[in-house]
Amino acid sequence: MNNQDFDRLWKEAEASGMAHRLAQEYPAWARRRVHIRNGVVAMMCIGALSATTLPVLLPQHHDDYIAVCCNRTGISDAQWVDLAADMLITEMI
Amino acid sequence: MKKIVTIILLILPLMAAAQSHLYERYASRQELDVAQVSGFRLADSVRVDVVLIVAKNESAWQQLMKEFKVQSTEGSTSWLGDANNPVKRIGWTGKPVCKVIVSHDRRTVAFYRLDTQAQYEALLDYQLNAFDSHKHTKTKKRNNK
Repeated sequence: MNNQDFDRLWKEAEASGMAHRLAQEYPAWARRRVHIRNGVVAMMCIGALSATTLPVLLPQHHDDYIAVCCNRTGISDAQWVDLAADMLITEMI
Repeated sequence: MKKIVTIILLILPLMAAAQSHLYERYASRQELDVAQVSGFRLADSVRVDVVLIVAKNESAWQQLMKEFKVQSTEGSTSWLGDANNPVKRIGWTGKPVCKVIVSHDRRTVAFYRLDTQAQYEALLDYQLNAFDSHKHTKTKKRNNK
């Protein structure tokens, strides 16, 4: 689109009242856009928060334990549970 | 946005509450591997929380033994400790206690939180059953040879 095309379209828009309507409605549209953006950000925050907190607050139930937390990576939950069981036998042997 | 911040502030303490003071006390120490097993099953309807501390090296282990006032240097040892201060040896009175088991071979200290009589009895039963099954397996292996 060149300048002449734009001028022609703008004049048509002014003549039809479209330019005036756009200028009037733009603030409302901008507000709506901000609301949508806030909504998306809120959903992302809630999603991230749920992913980290739900396993703690609503832990999955395993047969032998409910949840394991540890200060190091590299040792699996099952290994810690085995150790907890082994330590009870260790005392008896 | 204020609502989101409020939700985060409300949930954070709940997350922190999931970890015991014992775990929190030792988890920050680099020379120790620390874990909390929540709801370790002793019997069908009896579960306990367990904190395990594993020393990564001999010096860390010696330091830990000093902190828990353990005199022995080999095998294993155990006692009932105060729930808030497991170093303090106490007897079973029906109040919350910690069963502490120390294994020198594994360089591990385990704390089993016992709040009720049912948990205390279930732990003893678990140990007896596990010991019986361990003995049975050993005998079977010997007979097969």
